[in-house]
Amino acid sequence: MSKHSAENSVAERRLRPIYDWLDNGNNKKALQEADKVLKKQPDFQCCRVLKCLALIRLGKEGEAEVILNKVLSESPVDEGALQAMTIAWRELQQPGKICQMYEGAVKKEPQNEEFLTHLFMSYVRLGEYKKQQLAAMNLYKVAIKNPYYFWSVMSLVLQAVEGDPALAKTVHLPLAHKMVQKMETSGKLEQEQEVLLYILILELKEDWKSGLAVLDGPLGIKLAKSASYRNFCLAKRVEFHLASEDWEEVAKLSREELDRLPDQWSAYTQFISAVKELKDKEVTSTYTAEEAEEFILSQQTSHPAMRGPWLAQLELVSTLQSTALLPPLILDYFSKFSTKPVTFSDLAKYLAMLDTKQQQELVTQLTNQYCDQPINNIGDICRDVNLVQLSRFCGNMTNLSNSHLEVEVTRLLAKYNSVQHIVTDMVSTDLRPPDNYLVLASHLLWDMWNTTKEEKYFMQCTALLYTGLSTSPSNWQMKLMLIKLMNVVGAGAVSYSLHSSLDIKHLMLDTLGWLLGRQLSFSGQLGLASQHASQTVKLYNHVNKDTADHIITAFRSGTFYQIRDIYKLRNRLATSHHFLTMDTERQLLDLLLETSIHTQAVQMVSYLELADEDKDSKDWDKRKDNRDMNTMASWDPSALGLTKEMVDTSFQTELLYSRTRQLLLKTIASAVYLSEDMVPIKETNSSTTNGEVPSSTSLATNLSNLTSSLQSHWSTCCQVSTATTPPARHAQPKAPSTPSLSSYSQSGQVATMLDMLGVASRIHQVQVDTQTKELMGECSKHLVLGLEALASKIDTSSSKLLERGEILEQVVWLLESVGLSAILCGVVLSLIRGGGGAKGGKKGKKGKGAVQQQFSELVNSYTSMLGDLQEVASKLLELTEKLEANISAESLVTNMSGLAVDADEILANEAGEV
Amino acid sequence: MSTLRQFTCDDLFRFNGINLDPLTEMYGLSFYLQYMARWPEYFMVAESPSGDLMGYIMGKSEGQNENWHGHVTAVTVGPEHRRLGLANQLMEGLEEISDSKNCYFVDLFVRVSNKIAISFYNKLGYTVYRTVLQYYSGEQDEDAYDMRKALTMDVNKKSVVPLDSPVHMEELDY
Repeated sequence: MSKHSAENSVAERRLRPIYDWLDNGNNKKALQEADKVLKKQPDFQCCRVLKCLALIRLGKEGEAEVILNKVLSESPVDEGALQAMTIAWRELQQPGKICQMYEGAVKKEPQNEEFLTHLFMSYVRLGEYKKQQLAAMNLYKVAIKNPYYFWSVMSLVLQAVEGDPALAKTVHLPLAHKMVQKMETSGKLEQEQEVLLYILILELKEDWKSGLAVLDGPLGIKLAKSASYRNFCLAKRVEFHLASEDWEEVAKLSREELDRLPDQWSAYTQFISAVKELKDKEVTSTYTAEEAEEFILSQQTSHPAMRGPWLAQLELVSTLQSTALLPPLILDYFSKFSTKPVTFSDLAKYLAMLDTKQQQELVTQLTNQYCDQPINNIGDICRDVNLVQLSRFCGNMTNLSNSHLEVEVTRLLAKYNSVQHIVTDMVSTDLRPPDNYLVLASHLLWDMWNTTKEEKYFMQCTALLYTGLSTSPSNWQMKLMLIKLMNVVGAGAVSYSLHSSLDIKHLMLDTLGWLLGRQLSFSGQLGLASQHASQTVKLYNHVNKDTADHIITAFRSGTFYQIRDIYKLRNRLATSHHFLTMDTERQLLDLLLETSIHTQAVQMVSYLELADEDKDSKDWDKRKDNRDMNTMASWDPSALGLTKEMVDTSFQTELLYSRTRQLLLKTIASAVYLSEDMVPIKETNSSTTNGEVPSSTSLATNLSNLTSSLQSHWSTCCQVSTATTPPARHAQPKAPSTPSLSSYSQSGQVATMLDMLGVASRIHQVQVDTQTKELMGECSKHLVLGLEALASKIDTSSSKLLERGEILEQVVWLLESVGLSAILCGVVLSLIRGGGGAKGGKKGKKGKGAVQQQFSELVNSYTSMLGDLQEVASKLLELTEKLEANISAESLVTNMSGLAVDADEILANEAGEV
Repeated sequence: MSTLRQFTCDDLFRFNGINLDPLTEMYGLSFYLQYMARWPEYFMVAESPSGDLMGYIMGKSEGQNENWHGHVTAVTVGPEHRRLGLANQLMEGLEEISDSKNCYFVDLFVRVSNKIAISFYNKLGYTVYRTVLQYYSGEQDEDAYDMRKALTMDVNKKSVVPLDSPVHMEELDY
């Protein structure tokens, strides 16, 4: 045994127990054991790092960091030490140190392939594209292996995609191209994945000609031979020809594809649009409109059972001929495929092209033809359901009187009941085709409820959906509809349980979060809202790690297209608007629910994770709308359906509202910081590095900047809300429920907060004058107005279910305002007592606790300010009790009154402290 | 009729109409990314003419020597798009890719209670190779059938000869 390996085995024997203790989670023992070993061998790097792991897990991060930095400065090359240290830095959330660590190791052993690989991957985790590129190149120099070379190329591509577009065009992409070409000419371009990267580069360069040259050349031909990439190659060829507007080639390639895959829809649409372009541009071509028609008819003959060729004819006729020719084709398509559940969706696009008269004629014809047909099997049910959906889409159930609509509902129910015997054998996990009768009926009832405000329609609607669920418990369309209904009436707990039964989790929380996210707060279910928001935020917090892991996997497997795709995903989630919303609401809820006295507020504020304001102020309106509004079914006529404009308007409002709330949270937090002269943790870290401690002046500046941002943002909101008429609130079941800015303004929340922040900042500047006193005297004036508005609503419309959600929303805003005001009262009191280094005030622990001399004349104003707020709180409580009395479903408000008591307690506590 | 193409990250934001199905598991992000990053060619989605996602299949290839095989991790079709033979088409696509990679067979796991799925796989030529005890955990643990279909490489169809007795999960070597 050589000396080296003997040493190794001794070391391993000594470390083994420490590893075991760490694995078992017994960190105390691990620490003891490590100390024991270190007594004999104080320089043992790996052991020192393992000790740090134990320390970190015992909550002694600071102590661990000191040791780790010491080991880091020694540039360890011991494999065990490096591995353990990687884990330690990761647990300390300092991935940058892992790079540093491998940089040190590589410096000592520049030929070590493994260290270089680790260094590369550690840069990937941080998204250091430039350094990645160099590390991969060094790796390639050490070990001439193709993957390393292409890692370097891909890192260049990432600089192009994620960086400055101008540089991408002039520097990064041309260089990447050259690098790949070099491999190609020297005959070293071998792997399929490398060719894919080649194609990706040319695609990004928008160099379609070269792209096609690769695809049509030996590399592309070889790639297309593999079943894995055949479709990919074909799709790219078409895409590149499309981009270079070579319609002849597009037509030719689509045709080839259709010969092989006669049901591939994208090939039909590409083919037909290419023929249209050729025709419009009067290019002489083999692909004329006539030829295209002939071809599609021949496809029908050779594949009569496939839907593609038949629907393609509709596409062809509507694109190249006249929509007047569509009706007989639609009839024909319906007769062929009506037993498939998807037929209505197939036809909707073409139905929408017809005018009202044509639509009416079509529906009459279809109805005459099919209404007497017996329904004996599932296919027959589908046919009838398609017919009903089509008839709704063509406007047959709009502009009807209520009595007619009621007849329609009854008819749909009768249909539903009459076919139940056919579906009794279906398993409970299957969706039953006749359920669609109920869903459609529920849409009609929703409309009637909205136009008449008559409760019976709501009751009927929910009853019908619950009945449907009792036989078809997995039908999510019915559940989604129920969630919407419950949201309108403010029954958040019911929405929540329906939502839970749908098992909506992971990414669905982002795309379907709009269904429940804020609605829980607005219905007064603040505990559930907080729980739900935390759960949602977790999704986003894991994105960076999850995506980094798989970007690394993708580098290892050379799936370069996917690397780019995963980066896009990361970005889409990191900038998700829903994330911003839920993160802000969660923190506001924490502040409101978990604090009863000022010290708790201070503590809570110190926990907040507030994003960087410089970045937020630039990016708040660049957030992405990831809401999925298509999963909820609807067969509304196209003129009445949910339009893109409606979704966009709703999103703009969402953005304005979320930003207001974000600023509100940040401003309140910064007021609390100021009152305690305390520095947010994040800033403490950065300040220790440059040695500056933010002074009370900088805290004050921060508060004043945020306050003026809030002020100006809020005035924009008010302008927007007066300038635009928001769409009717519950126009369609599918429509997103966006908070109304004018209702929010009516609650007086932001105005009140601005007033109170004004008071705090005047006191901090020792402006003990009439104006300050006046401001203090008027702090609750906006809330009083809000209360009045609420009171009149409770008098006139609280019995109306349709308005109940909106009333509860007002109640919640007012409650929040009282709670947040209480926190700001705590801030004011703390300042009066000499906190926050108010100018001229004596700072320090001794001075604090009693009212400062200079503020003594404000005590009365403060007391009456508290009194005013307390009055608001008790009036609000009275109003909620009245509301409760008005509402039969008492459960809706139990949470509300609970919260009102909380707010009351806060105020009582604050008052007691004066 | 559909457009068959590779699954992309953006599809994750649009597949609710398929994944709300109670028999289709909604996994964490990491699960889908793992398949996309390693076996993108095995992750296919079908899109309808109206632009809705209809169904998808995800799978992989793994194993050594005569165990080198394609595996179907999930195949699912949204309710509106059933009765169109789509699952069939997706399975064929996966088999074709596995064949071109010289796999010996394709296999999949299915709950022994899921009669509909079992008969569907039977029709496609899959047979029960073995029973895996307590493969599915939950309120009530459930056994799985490991079903297989031999590919061109397996000339003598050795890979699908059923085992005599069930195996435990720990005995699965891949």
